[in-house]
Amino acid sequence: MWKYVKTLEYPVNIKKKDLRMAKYLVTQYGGANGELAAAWRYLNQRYTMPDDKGKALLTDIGTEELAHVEIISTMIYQLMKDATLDELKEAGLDTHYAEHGKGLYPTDANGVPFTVMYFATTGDPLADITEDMAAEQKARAVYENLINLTSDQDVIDVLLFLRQREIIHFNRFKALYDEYLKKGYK
Amino acid sequence: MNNIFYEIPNDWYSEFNNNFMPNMNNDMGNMNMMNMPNVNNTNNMNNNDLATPKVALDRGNLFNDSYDPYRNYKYRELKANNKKEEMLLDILRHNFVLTEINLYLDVNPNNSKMINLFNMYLSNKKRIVDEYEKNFGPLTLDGLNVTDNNWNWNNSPWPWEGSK
Repeated sequence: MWKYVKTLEYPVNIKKKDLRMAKYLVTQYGGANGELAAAWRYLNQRYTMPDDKGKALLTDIGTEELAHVEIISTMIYQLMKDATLDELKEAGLDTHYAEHGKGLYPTDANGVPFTVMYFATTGDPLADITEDMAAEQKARAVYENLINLTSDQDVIDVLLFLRQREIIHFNRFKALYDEYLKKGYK
Repeated sequence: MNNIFYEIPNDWYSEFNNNFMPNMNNDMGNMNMMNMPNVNNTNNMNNNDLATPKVALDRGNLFNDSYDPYRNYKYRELKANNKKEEMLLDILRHNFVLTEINLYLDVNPNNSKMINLFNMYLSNKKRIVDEYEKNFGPLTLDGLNVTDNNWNWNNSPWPWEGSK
């Protein structure tokens, strides 16, 4: 089971409204390489990991990804909350407003809704962990794209933190992969 | 207030922390993801490989050998504006270091030094969380004070509302 802790993993205090950035950032909520896909990829793959190391690692990284879903959601919320209708229109978020008001909704940066097609589960630990390593690298690359798109230090600080987590998760998955390869798990 | 991190022996931390003045112009050589640390050697980890909890949370990485800055960006040094924020920041630092050690131990479960470090941070964290919750309300439902007459779990701000 999971328990809610009433704090973010890393603080988010964005002071400046920026609707364009909200529109880009949402991809790390509901896009192909986003945190929601990451959380569910690992939490769904963990059941068929061949030993305790894999079961533990996928559970624990999946859990941290849930905290990252919350961080990204928080950023989008704070960037959008003071927007007027005219500002939403100007930023191209009028279509979002038509569907969701100022509510959050997991889509990619083009407005395509989240889908489980963004991750796979083969039941083969080497194949699944290889996908997980790739997912961390792709998320790192997207965070770098997002950092390049803003000059707001309040946003950049959080993106740098999240980017660094992708690097750590990649390393942990790689260690597991190397061990499973050596052990001949199939 | 007391900095509880001072209870960790100095030699747990590396010279990295004492001399940490990153030269942002020299970071480009560290960008290649293929320069990842040798993950097979991490069981030999010693204390010099770890950042302080403060640096670890600020930069999102406890492990010096895998910290990989992006271009010339410098991470922010998180600061607290009042006692409540200071205590919460202490808790975040502990939570973060515990997460880092947790993930490390998942794939390196026999590293007794890291297990000891986990236990030390966990007992520190319990004490700070307890003090925080007594003063500022529960962080989890386990932290509710049942002798209170008012239900304070639903008090604002919620985490996404930030500090004003």
